Amino acid sequence: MKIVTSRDIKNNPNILLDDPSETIITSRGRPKAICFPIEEHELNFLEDLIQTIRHSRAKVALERLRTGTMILRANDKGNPIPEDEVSASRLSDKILREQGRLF
Amino acid sequence: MVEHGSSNPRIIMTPKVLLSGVLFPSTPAAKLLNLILEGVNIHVVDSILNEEYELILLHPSLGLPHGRSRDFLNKLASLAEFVVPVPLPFRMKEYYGVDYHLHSLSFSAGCIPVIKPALHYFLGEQGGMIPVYTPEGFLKYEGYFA
Repeated sequence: MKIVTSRDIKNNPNILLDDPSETIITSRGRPKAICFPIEEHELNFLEDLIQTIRHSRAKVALERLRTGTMILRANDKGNPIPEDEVSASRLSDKILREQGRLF
Repeated sequence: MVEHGSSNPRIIMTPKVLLSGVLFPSTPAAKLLNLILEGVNIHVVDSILNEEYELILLHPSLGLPHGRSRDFLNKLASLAEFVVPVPLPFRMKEYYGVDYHLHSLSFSAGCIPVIKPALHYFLGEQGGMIPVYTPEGFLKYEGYFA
């Protein structure tokens, strides 16, 4: 996968069109967007493609969150992450009650 | 945000169900969450419910990794159908009490199911206006076995 900076694109916009592979666009050293080629016939399915990407990103985000939670549990024995559904439910109630959302 | 008019079953998930789904991957709540992330079911929220998701998952007393929780919530919100709930009559507010908001949201979205961790305290179940399920009950209803 190619990586180009926003400055590269400003200087030469065709840099995105010349290479038919996925391109990561960075700004100030951080990834900001991904650009991938599409065929004309895919235009009809563009919304489906975008939706598929959204779903995949959400799945990855959930896995990252679960992994991060497992690491915290393993490394920090005093961490308050609930160990079972009942204590998670009680803690949720407590948080919502404190915020005036549950009476 | 999803397009309106999709044929996928729409549901409302309470913050507790979301938390169970995130923390305990082998539970029915997690299976339900996976179905949402796979696009099989669409979760419906309003600004209040979305705020409650954030309140729970980002609360320091829960100790979840903040950045990853925020990222997941953003991605989840991008899959949600946002609804502006219509207010129900005041008498119903008195009757449904704490569940009034979920009723109002479900009613506004077309009487779609509300998924709660326990039905015990849900007055709506007696009122019969909207369908209410536990995650396990909903999965069975949809033909999945939790």
